[in-house]
Amino acid sequence: MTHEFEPRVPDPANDRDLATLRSLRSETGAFEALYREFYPRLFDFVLRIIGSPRDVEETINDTMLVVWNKADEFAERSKVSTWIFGIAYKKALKRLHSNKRLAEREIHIDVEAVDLRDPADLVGDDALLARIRSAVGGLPLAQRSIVHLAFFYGYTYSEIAEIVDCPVNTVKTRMFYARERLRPVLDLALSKEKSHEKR
Amino acid sequence: MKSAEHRVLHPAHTQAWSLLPWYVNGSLAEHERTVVRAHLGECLVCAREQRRLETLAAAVAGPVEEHACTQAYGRLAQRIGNVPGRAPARRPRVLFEPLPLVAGALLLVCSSALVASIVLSRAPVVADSLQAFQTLGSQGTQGGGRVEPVLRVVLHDSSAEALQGWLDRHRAEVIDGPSAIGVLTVKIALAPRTFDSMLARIRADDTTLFVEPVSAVGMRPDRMR
Repeated sequence: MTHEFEPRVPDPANDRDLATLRSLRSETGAFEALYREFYPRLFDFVLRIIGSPRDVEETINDTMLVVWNKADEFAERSKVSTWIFGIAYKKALKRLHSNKRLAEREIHIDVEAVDLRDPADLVGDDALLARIRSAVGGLPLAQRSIVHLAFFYGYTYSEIAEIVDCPVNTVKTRMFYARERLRPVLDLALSKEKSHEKR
Repeated sequence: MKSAEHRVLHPAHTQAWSLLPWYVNGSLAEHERTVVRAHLGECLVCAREQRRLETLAAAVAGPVEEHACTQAYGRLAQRIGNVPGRAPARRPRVLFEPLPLVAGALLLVCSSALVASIVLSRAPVVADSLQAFQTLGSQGTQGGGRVEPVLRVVLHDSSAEALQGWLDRHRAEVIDGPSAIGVLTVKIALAPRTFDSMLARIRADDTTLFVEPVSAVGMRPDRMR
């Protein structure tokens, strides 16, 4: 897998994470600081992959254990957060498979059809946003992860490719299909918005 | 305007369409952003898709929750074993626990006082004669009508200087202790009728944490309070 790397843009957050990573074993409290920095971000990410809060903490700890053991091997080819998210993604998939919940989850997703009721049935913007979130939750795992990485975490397509360990074009293709599947519910939201504007 | 189907096949449209999610999340490089922005100005299909994706982004972003990770970190630190720094889930070990120590001292003193009072209450009472009798915690009379109450004492400050000052102030003598938990057994030579005032004076001393008579040789137990 190859990526085109753009000129490095100064990133204070990444520089801070990098400094913490470098002092992980030598500086008191460095590992705990890194853990506390990433725990909330990884929690949401892992939860969206494995779908159950029960195994999230253990998956995060598996991830951070790898960070602890491999910190010296981090080669700075990507941002620290991209590297850590990549590890978390693999650990979450592994846990999902080992728990044999993947098939169960995918069956659940097929049943969870996108709701296409009349916009008049919707109650307020919150309900609409919840409907969209539910539709996103109904996407296949590969598409759902990419949607979250792009819109929840704001990652670039090359960073997402790094995290999920696939070519950039695959990321774009998965995003394309995710958009196709989400279009009905998003159109519903837009039409609702338009009817609000007319009033 | 050309049809949407035609635009879908147009290379500029295809490129902008595939980049739109990252245009919306603001992570595109400058040159790509310029291409997409230019295309959005002339393509209604992409402009509508941009609005869809903005709605999607708003829905996905959602509220960010606070997570309590202290216990989770504690469990990981235990797995690793030698992380520099503290493991928050573990309570730091302390060599000296003041509260249980004081409680233990009080319990010991109270139980000693109770045993002593039971023993004394069963002893024959010689009304005002101050007849001498010996208890396990006492040193006996000195003669001349003087009594030597034996007290259990705990001081706030257990240093040698503080102890010496206390003994001098109250003309007391250590007969046992301090024990491992700081309890002193002292005797004080005084005239029998001054026992109550002596006890009150010791209790009023700021450096005294606890004092209780164990016995007063030659005194009736009912006069020891």
